[in-house]
Amino acid sequence: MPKFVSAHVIACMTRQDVARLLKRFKEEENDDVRNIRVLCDTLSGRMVCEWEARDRMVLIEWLKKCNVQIRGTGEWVMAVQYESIDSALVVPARE
Amino acid sequence: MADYANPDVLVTTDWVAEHGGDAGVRLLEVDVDTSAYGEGHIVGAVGVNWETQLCDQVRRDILTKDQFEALCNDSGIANDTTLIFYGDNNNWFATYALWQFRYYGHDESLLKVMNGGRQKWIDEGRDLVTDVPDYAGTGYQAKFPDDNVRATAGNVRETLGEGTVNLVDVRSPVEFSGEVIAPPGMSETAQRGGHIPGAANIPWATAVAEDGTFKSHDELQEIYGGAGVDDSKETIAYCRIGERSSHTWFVLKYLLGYEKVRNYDGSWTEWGNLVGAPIARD
Repeated sequence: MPKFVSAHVIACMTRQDVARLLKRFKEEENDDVRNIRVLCDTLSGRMVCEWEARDRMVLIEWLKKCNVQIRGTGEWVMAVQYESIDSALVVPARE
Repeated sequence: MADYANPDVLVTTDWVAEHGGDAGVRLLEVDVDTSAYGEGHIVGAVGVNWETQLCDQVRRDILTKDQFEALCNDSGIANDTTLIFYGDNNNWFATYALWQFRYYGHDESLLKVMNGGRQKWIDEGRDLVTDVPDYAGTGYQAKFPDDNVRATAGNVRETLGEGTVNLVDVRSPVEFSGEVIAPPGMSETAQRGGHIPGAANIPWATAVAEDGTFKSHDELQEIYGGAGVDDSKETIAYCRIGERSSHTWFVLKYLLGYEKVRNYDGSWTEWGNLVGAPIARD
């Protein structure tokens, strides 16, 4: 499946809040959407997630179901066109 | 630290290493990450859980006077105990706890924050322990709440448009603009997004240096004064639920020495749900 990266504002979420969200992601995973990893900084209130999803809109709708909204300029979903592997820029492999 | 309006409100990690165990001194660790204390803390420190020990468990409110007295009694805190607050995330909830102690009238000269917090202590390679201390009860007697440090929605509303109060919104710019109402995964915690009309947006973390300590007096003065926070007026700080704003309350009141600063702990989750409350999105 194609890869995506999303950015979120997590405001004052705690480590426990993020862990609960990650658990929700895992529980909601299906053939169309899979969370690869979550990176966050609770100090600056930012979170970046890496995904595999059938397409961008499917991912956005899936996120909405998890109460994760993509709004405004501070939150977005980007399709990964290229990624670097061993310093080489390549097209992400699709399973 | 000498340039701050009240330099004695901060202590260094060196001071804590030397005096943290002195008679009459109690260390209080209050973390955003409520599991952190259990993973290791400064010897002798009492852990305070902000989710269960700093708020009423039924009503949406901070502790009642009786609950506050019980917390102090159970933590071995007497009315003349010097309290050193510290925690993770640049002392975010440490200052929230200190604010409640100030609200219930603990002697102001005995309230202090370890500058740099838990992370600075760890970064310096200092020891952490997992033993949980057990202190004898003290029969602590709280004073009447001091509303000079706590603002209500009514207090905010009666000043709107008069230009007599600085309103400081310490949330992130996208929360301030109304683009983001609730953190990911949480159901909406406010019906509306935006900010209180007239508020200046100064995110709380702008007051903190790279090493987690507070920025210098001059830097802080530049940040808040530069954003139009007039020290001759009263200031009310708010965020989403009132904890990030307690950090800014601490900075303005103690490090910059603004005469009257209040924390509006109802914050956006109250204001953004109030029917008819004015909201700006500029």
